[in-house]
Amino acid sequence: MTFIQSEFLWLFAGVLALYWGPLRSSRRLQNLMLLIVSLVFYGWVHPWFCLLLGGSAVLDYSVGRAMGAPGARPPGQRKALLALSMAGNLGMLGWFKYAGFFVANVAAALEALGVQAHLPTLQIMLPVGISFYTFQTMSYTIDVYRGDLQPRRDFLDYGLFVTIFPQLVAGPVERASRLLPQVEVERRWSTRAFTSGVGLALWGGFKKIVIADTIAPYVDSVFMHTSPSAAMVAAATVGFAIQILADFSGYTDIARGTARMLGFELMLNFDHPYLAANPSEFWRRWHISFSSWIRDYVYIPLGGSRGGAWSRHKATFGAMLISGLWHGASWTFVLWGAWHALLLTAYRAVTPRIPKAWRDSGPGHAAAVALMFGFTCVGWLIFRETHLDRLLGYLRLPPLDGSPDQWMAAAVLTALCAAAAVPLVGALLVETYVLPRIRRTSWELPFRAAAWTTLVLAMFTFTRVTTNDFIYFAF
Amino acid sequence: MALAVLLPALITGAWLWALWPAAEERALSAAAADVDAELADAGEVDLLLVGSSHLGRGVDMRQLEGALDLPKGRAHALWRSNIQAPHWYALLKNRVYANGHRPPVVVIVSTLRRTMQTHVEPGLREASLIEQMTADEPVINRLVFGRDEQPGAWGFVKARRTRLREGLLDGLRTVTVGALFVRADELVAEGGGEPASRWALGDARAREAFERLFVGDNARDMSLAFRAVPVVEAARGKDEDSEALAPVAQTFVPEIISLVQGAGGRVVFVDLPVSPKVSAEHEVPPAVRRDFVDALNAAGAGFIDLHRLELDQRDFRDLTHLNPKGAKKVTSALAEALQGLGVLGEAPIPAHELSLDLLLQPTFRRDGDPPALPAGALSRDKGACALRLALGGGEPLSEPELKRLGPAPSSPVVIFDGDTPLVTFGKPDVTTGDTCHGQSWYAGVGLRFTARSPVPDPLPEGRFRAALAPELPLKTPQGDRYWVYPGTSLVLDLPAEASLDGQALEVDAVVRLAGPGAPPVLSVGGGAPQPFAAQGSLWSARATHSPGAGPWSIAISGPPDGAFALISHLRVRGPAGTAAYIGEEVDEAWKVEVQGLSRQGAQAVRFPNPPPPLPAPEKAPRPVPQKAAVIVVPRIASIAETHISEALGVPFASPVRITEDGVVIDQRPGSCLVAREKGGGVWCHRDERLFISATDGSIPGENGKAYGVTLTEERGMGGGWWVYPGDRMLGPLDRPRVGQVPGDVMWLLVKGWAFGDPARAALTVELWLDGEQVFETVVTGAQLARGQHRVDLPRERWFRDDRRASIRITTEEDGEFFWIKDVLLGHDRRQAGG
Repeated sequence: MTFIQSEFLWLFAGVLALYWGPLRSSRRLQNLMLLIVSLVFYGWVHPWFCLLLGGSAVLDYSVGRAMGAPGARPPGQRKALLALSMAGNLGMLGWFKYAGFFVANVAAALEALGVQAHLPTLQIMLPVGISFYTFQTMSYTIDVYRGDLQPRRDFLDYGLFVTIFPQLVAGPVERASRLLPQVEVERRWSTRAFTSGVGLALWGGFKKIVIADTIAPYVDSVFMHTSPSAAMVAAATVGFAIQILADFSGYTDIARGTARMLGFELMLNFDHPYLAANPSEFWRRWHISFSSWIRDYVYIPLGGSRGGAWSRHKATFGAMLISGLWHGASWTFVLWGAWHALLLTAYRAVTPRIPKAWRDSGPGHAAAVALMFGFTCVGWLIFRETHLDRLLGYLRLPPLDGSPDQWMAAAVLTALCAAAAVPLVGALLVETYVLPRIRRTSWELPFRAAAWTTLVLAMFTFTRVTTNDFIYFAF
Repeated sequence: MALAVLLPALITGAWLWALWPAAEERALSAAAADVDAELADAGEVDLLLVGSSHLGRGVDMRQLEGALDLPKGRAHALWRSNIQAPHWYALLKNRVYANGHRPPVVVIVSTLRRTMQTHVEPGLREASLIEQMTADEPVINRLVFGRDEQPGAWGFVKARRTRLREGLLDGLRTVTVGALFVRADELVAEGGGEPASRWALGDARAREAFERLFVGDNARDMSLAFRAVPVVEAARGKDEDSEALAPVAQTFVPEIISLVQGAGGRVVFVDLPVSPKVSAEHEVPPAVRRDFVDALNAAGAGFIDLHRLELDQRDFRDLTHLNPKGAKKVTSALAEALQGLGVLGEAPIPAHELSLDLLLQPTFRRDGDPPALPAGALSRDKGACALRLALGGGEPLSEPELKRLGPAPSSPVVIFDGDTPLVTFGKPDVTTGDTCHGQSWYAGVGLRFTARSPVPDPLPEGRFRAALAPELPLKTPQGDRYWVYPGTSLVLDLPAEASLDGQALEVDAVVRLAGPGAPPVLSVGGGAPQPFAAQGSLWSARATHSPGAGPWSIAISGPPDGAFALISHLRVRGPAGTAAYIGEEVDEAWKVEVQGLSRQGAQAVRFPNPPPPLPAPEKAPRPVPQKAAVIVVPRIASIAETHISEALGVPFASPVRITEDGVVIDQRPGSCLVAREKGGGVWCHRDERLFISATDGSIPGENGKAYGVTLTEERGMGGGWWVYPGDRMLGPLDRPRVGQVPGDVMWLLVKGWAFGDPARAALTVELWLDGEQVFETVVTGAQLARGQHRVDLPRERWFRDDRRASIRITTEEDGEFFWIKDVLLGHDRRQAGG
């Protein structure tokens, strides 16, 4: 089920009515209902997906219990249990997400060596959200192993932490240390939190339906074109940058908004990423829950910034390649990770050579933001085009070549990108200049009510029959 | 607090004010008024075609009128994009009949699947339906919305929100193109008229540009553009449900029939073809098709089934819409079928009979195992991987032998490397002795192949062996091949529902035999086996049987010591028509081309007349940025390069040439972009305009040079000949071959295309023997709309003696241009007795 299905709206309305109505006084009943609803939400299309989700949850719950607090077992046994959890989760992820990719590459490598290996072609369906919940449950086991978290006894609470539907299929990748305590305490009704959640969810829906889904067919038409011009590809790449931001941050806002309506606060996942002035800042603003996960559980264990430059580069490349591969079983995703690793490495090497005064100046900062957006778009081109040969073809296109028809298409797409960016920029201005001034004044409620109405009417106007799924459902 | 209520109310009110329909709009929407105006303009018509963009793109109304001998304007196509059966019903009921129009014949033109669908997608389609509905729509409400109530004003709001969204996006496109791509000088009014609107020009220019840019393979279905994830699958499943077809009685088919017949008209439904790439998805189950035909036959409505019309992807602009070339073919077939049904007359429309193969859905299998081939000698060719394998007992199946028999490559011999078959019909040019691709190809009486891994010396015994391919059919680069090996049977199983109520079926089979041994036998439904008899290099058999209730089968069985048989044709004739399960559906099997003129044959064709002079350009060359100038020559608009290359599938076959100061520029038509930007003598031809450039880089029109337009003397081009207006084409026939014709010449086949007005285009084809004209016929442009026209000849034994024969073709001086590929004479082997 997705957030923009009408079935979800009815289900969620019913959940809210029960949750804050008859079940309000019982946290356990609230949690039980949320657990059941989450399984329904997840298993809506393929109920057997719930078995995988349950398997992952049971594995990490059992490992956490067996591991106990630090000192409860010999370090070797704790390490073995941790390895069991990693093997289980990564094995499941590897099988469902990477087995086909692995087999295809092995076959290609053998063929290149002159060996005809008739390996089976695996047609394995990718369970939606598997990359998210395996990372989430692994964080629980790792935190228990490190002694940062006490193993939980209550399976209901733990199960809800793993399955809670707002963030189940596309994040944010919550840490056990943040979400579990919220699951374990009584929820209190807060009108302010609830209305804020409604507003956030509506804004998320607007970004998805009005911006992302509107621009998507135009972007797709260029990436499916047999011979687009460089200008068309450039405009489509900018379009995709807007689409993926609106799509993914839209999903996150709906997730955070619905969770907030239920009394949970999920972590911020996007913080105006295209305003980043450098690669390091970009990753502090884009998919924050995932990038911080990679930082804490991959980059730092690989050496992080502790060693010399070589160690840091190694950790950076390791973390970013894994980050790329996490997004999908394709070499273009690995290349995308490598591109960002290269940007991070180059940034560290170049920054000391740029005078600080220039870096801190307004024009300098603006130039850096523009440059970083350009680099990000190159990354999105790598990310969007799944065929390496086509990608290389795009990069070789003469920049100024093109028929009048192609220039026209590029211009129209650019105009569409500009139009799609207007609400995003407008929201930023409202968030920066308007909301702080009217917060807790008599203007706040009318302003919110007017904004919500506008969002709902815009969504109603732009909704179509064939909406695209959220992009990050595929990862 | 009051403001918190007031502001949203105001916003919602403004939104509803913009979208809520006025009473007049609900009574007569702008879209409905647009149809009214169109029908009023069209006036009284004899033939009203109704459909969606399939009709708009798929039928050339001018050609149809010409082919049906209707005066201009007496046939009208009423179509809109994104509409389907409910819309057609609404258009007929509310716009056609309610306004007093009474077309005697209504033709519903679409795919059968679209005709049968009642589900209307929310969004654009629902919006356009609501716009065509009135306050009283019990049929649409019942069949589409599943209730008795009207969609009401809210339905209109939903329709108008769709229009609003599309309007915003189209407006953005129009403003962008209008602002950036329309020059100020294009807005200046000519002759004191209204100046052109920048936005109207922008809109038109954007539409044209995107039509060109996103056509064909670039206009694919966007829903498949992104990665498929499980949730998408679920949604897709729902879409498939919406594609499910209801029983005929619960579709708009009976409603449309009753509507048209109630108004005293006759109705015909047409099933249009779609691209071969998606034809399987559009195929309607045989049972549904049968019910549909039964319903039409019972109601006296006509059915024209064009969904199997022989078209390929080059006839389509995208997956479902035809291009002008495809539309010509479809229009020609449609006109022929309409004439065949006599819909413009008074006689009852004859009942439609379903083609046999639509009724009988057979499956093929092979009974018995392929016999083993004796081991042949293995030898090294060159390199580490390349080897040769002689065909032990398989010489009859070697490619040279098969080439002698007929189509190649078709050998069923496969080389196995251990248990793994190598790729057959490999390409020697991509395979070298040191690369182990595991491919085999034919070489003389044996096979050459590369192993899947390097083969050390001494060559291994038993690792490589030749065997007969077990697959049925055998997939070859030239198509499917059906082999009957000695001791095996090829069986075509027909299902239980294939009962034809005891009526007789006639089965014809033709095979080619390879190797010594007895021919196979043909048996049908347990009837007596019929032997194959020799007819030249072919062997044929015929069996007639009344199979009764199924399941039953047709079998071709080879005796254990018999020859290898390659099936050329297997056809079934029954009460419902003819079906070909192997080979061509039409009677091509029996056609033998005995003589003719063909560019492939390089006959000495002469054109005694010089090319006709073309009228001088209407105006002097008008310079256009940067290096070119435009000249206008309306007389040759029909042979613009774009039209020619689209129709013929051959680029740069235009006979037009440009002269510069009387000297022909040594350039064929090329890219307009290059002509305009780079010049150098490059020119292009679009409709009546020629964009020309000077050979020395100067600008025509400003350089003082004189430019002219001529037609080339060289008529042979692109695999055919140009025949100009007022032209004569003389071609002698090959004397030795004329004398060898085994039977009567029964038909004359002209293959080619006419360019220009099909009503004016006509060529006279004459057959001359020993200086005496023995036959003359006129072939019109409309008759050549499908690329060929066959004329039956009188049964004269003209070619019995060794007589001097020739074909002459002439055209009228004020006629049109023709491009003739072949002129063939032939006879029907079966009718002529072989």
